[in-house]
Amino acid sequence: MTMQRSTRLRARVWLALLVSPLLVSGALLSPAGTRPAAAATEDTTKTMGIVCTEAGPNPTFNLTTRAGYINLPDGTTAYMWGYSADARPFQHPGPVLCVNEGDTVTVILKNAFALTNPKKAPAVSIIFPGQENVTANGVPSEPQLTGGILTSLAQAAQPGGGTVTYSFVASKPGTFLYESGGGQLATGTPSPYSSPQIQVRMGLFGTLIVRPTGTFPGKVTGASYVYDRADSRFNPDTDYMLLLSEIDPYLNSKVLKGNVFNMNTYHPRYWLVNGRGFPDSIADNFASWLPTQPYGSLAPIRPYDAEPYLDSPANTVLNPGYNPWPAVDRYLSVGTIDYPFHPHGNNGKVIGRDGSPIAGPLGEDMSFDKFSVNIGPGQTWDVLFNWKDAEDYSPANQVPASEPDLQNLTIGMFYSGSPYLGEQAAMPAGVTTLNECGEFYIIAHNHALYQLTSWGVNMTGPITYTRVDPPLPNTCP
Amino acid sequence: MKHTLLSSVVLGSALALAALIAPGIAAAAGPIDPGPNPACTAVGTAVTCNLWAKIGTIPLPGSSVTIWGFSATSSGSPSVPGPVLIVNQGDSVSVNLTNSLPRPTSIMFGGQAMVSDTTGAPAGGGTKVYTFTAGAPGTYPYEAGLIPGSQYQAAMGLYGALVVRPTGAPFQANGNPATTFADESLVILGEIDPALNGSATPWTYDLRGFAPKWFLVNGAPYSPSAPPITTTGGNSLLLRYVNAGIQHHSMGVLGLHQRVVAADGSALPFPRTMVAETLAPGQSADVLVSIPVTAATSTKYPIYDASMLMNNSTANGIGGMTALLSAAGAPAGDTVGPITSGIALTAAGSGTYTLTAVTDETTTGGANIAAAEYRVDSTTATAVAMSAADLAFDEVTEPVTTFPSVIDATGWTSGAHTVYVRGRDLLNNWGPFASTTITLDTSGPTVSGLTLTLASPGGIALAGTASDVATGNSNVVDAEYFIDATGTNGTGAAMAVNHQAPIASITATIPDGTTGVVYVHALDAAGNWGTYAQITLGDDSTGPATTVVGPGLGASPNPTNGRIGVNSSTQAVRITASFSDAGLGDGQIAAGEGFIDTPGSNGGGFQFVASDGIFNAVTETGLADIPLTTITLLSDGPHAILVHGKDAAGNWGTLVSLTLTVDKTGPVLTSITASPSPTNTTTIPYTSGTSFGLSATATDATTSVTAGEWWEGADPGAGNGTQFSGVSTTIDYVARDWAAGNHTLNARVRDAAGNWSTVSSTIVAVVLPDNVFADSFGSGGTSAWTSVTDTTSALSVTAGASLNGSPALGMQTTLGGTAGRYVTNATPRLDASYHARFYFNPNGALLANSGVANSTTILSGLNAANNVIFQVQVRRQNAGGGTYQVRLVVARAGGTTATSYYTITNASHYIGVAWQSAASASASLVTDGTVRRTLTNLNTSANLLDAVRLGPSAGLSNAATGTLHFDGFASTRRTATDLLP
Repeated sequence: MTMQRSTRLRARVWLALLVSPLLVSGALLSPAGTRPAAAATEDTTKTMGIVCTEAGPNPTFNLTTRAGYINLPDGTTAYMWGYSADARPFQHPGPVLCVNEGDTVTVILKNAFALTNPKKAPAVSIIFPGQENVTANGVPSEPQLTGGILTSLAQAAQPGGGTVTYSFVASKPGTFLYESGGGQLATGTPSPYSSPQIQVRMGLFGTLIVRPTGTFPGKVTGASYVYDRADSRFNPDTDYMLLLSEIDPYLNSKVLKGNVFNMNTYHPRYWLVNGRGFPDSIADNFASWLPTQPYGSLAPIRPYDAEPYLDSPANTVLNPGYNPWPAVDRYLSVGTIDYPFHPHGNNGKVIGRDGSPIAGPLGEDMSFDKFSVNIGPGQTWDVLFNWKDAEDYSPANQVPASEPDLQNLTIGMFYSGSPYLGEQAAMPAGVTTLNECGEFYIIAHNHALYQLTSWGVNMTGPITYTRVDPPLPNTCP
Repeated sequence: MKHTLLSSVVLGSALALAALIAPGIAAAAGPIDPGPNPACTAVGTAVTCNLWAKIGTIPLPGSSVTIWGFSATSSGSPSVPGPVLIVNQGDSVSVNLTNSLPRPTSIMFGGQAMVSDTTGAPAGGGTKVYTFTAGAPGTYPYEAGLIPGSQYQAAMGLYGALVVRPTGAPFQANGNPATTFADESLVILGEIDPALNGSATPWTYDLRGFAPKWFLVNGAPYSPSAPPITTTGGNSLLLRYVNAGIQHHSMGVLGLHQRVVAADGSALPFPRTMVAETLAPGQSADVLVSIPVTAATSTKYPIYDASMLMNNSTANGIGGMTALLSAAGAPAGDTVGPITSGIALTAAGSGTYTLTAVTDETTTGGANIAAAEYRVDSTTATAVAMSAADLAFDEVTEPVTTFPSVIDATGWTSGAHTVYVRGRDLLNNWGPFASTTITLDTSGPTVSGLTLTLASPGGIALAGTASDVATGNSNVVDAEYFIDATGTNGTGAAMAVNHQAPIASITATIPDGTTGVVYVHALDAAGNWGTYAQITLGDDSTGPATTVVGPGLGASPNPTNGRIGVNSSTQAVRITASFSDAGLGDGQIAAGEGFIDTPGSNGGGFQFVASDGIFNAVTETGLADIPLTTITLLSDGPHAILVHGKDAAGNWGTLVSLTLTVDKTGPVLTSITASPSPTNTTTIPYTSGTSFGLSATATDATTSVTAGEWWEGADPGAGNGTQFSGVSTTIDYVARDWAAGNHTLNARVRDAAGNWSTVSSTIVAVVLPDNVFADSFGSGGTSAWTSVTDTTSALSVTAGASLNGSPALGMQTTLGGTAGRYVTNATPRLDASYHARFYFNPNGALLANSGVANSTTILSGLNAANNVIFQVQVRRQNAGGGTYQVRLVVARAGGTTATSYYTITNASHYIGVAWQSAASASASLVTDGTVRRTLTNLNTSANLLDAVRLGPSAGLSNAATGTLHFDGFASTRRTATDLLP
């Protein structure tokens, strides 16, 4: 005990010497705060669906460049760059900025890269494809020419804490990307990583969602609508993002080491959805084992049911399974080629692309059903999605098929033991299941099947599930 | 090799770069300029174009590359892309191709109705003439075409654009006024792989290896020498995209909306607005962008491949598939405020900071700085003025500061705070906010999860978790504890911190014999001691109490058969118990264990795990799974499961027992009995039962019989039969639509542990009930009947047709036409004996024309093949008038037998029929309670009754008029009593 005590006293003296400035400045601060936290808010308790970063009306977001590592399904990691809000640590992809139509949106970019950490750090900018009249530091955001050489697509923030303030009016509702427009050092040896081609590949991108605020007869739009249109309504509990990207790890490792990457050899080996590959993609938002990849893509929905009452026409008993509004899948791509993505189980209804509703000049509904959605680079697709229990199979209305012999079956780890929604039954001996309440898991994936890999580890990559929960009331946790 | 080729090119390096820009894509406002030597000349609607295919070179940044391209003149250099061909819709176009290349070549024109050229112009000066009538207005590619083995030629540069203008509307994309433009430009996309272009024999190049290193817009990758596409603020600019490469390109115009008005030369009736429009190889698109009226002079907008295809081979920086739009506009006045940079917060004292920044107007108008301000945490927070560092706002660049004032942060919460700064120029323009973020840590870590456990040797291990994540996110650097009373920070007994991180594990060893309340707190790197957490270190010498009975406690499943687990994924019997040290020393529960039948030494049993994951509270629920492989080794009968828990002081509690019943043997099913069998022995009509009981006689040696199942036919497997609880069930054989006769029923039963018995069977003789079907149309309709056949809407239920008065409704059928009009009852179940009666009133109806003897069927019985096996017919004695007569006709082996006709009056009558199936059967016709005739010795054994029709079903005449009335239909299987009224 005595021995322990003396060791401790030495440690304390050393500590006090080291941190004395902090102690002095911090010691008198009142622990009882009177000022609200400055940070843009993010609901870190939301386990599934889009997690918005919001900052009130006419919001100001402080985005800071960060570097870090993400986990990939083959057990490796990749060195990445990214945008983080306020003082948050590195994350991939960038925060989902959610604003309202008509908001004046201000994004203050701070390039927290030091000149030598990351090695040969470049200047960084942000472009907002689909937004008009974007200003940077009060003047039009436009390509930057230095000595006749195009150095970036927008005014860039220099490393070492340089800032650029972008501002625009979010005039059109819909789903948009924001991403780096590149940036070169103002002085000194040019960085080899100034091109947006490299900076976007390194992870400097994120999603911008503009929610409609317009009106149409009898309704005011809002978070339940994708566009200023009655037929763009969806269930706001089922708002899903599928941000598709790709990684060539040779590029990332060259950037980590400060070496030049030969872009002619660019060849992606990983493809991701919301910055994760399967099976990480179906883990909850903010899963503790994915500390830098906060966004999952599992999409739980319930069967479509447009009947509000159980006892029509008396209409006195509410139908707990009432679920008339579809989910929305917001697809975005920052890849280099088209990604043909499709959720199994139903066609989606494409209602908008690139932040424009699919409509005629007089508002004619030109939306269409589509199974495979071919998302081109830089594009966004807004697709409504329903799951309908068309045949209404149940133990009382059985599927007219005989079950194959057990030895001819492979039992999936999400199987409930029963082919019927909301039913669970005994599993074959020795088979365990993760199924909780008879829910269905229907795959949704990029159908460019050669991309369902993590450098050779098959059935990973941009795969996720639509989880069909039984109608309410159900026993799901 | 490459050098050899280059030296062989005549045009070589002498050409100035600008001269190599293809005519027509020079970047000028207004319509496309085809250059001084346009490829096409028009005489009226006859247009002649001349193209020479040649070898040439084009410059690339830092190098040049051999190309095969088109020239508009015989002496000119070829360009990439080739000369633009501009014609009007409907023009008769002739294109003269002269091939100076070393290989034959041909041209295909996208979207034009013409015969494909698969032979081409021969090498070394061969010619070919293409003629076509210019199709729909729009933009099309033309490129080297379809002769075999020429796939490399387009990739060599043999491509260009064909523009078809709407006649009389040169400033519209496609004749739609909504596509009017002021300026237009080609945006022709291409790619170059120098390995192909540099080959001396490109026709031998294997295109599977084509990997472009250069990405071209209008023949050039982006470089400082690439001319911008010019336009003017307020103008509508038409971009004519053509993808002549081999990759998809997803083209965007940053800062502007692209309105796609045509694809592949086809006008889109509903244009789409795209951020990134994907063009597949060979595709084209006409896209309108509107330049804002407010665009300042030389505002630039990038046109770029949104996949960020911006590399010029291996060169650093931006190039590739990028081009700049440059908009002329009015020079802006100084309407923009200064830019703020270099924000810094410097500690000035205890919790106070000096804020400094630089405001700079040099690039935003050049006026002097007039003011600066800062706001904390929000750009809408209260502004606080800053002063010039040199105390006077009088320069274009002005360092600003809060000095001598300071920002007092003493009241701020721990966490991130953002300070926004902006400046204002003399023209009253506020500049944009810039910001910096500081992280304050004014609160110490919180301590949670304290535990006390007996350490070995000696002492009590104190452990917990300290976290500063929510209180400033600094590292945890130290921790200490006090006994019974807290003391001055830093004077307690030291605890070890496992690593310096915002969340750390803290541990210490408390000497044996210590008792009291242990207070623990931790220190963060910012110097804040956190609040205390506490745990009581009591004098605990008594083990916890264990509870094994109660809601959610005990064994599951119990009884067990050793084969069914507690759930589908756990092949075990689960024991759930609650342990509590409350009042017994109040130590935390540390462990639980159990024994089967015989107590063992403490710590030697099977372990429990905490239901919430960790034993760390005074009261805990724990569970243990006994594998089914263990259960199967136990004998049938009750077994004692002995459970107890251990507290943090190491005391084991008293063993508590629960009984787990093991029953691996199924019940013994002695017999099953169906009763009554035969069913329906009662003779009273209309009150017969429709079900019988099935009961099992079974015993189980260890538990009780709790469930059973039965089935008919093949064994569906245990658990898949029709379930019943206990040992009996009731079976409704009518609802199950069973046929009369013997049915063999199998059953087995299950005990409480889930074991099934062997199968036993019994035979039940099903006798169907006497009553078959009756309806007096009291429902007001015919819904009681199986079906209604009435294609002519002649059949209805009315009060006027009521014949038996109760209820006052009956069925009427209007005559006229030969289509049947009747109701059908299909309740008969292949019956061999049947009686039916009904009320009938001919109601003065004419059944046929005068002179025609027409017998109309008003009741008929049918077999399963829908053949009539008996029927009641009605006619008028003198056709077309006279008295009504009825008769019964019965089908038999070899023909039919009929009764005579019996006269009835033109009034309501009660008509009955008795029929049976037998080798020597009889059949009777009854009217108004009088048996008119009984036919005998009929061989009807082949006929079994399946359905009955009431109403005119056969023998109808087009000449018939009037209405027949029916009512009070009833039918039975066995009793004939109801044939009397």
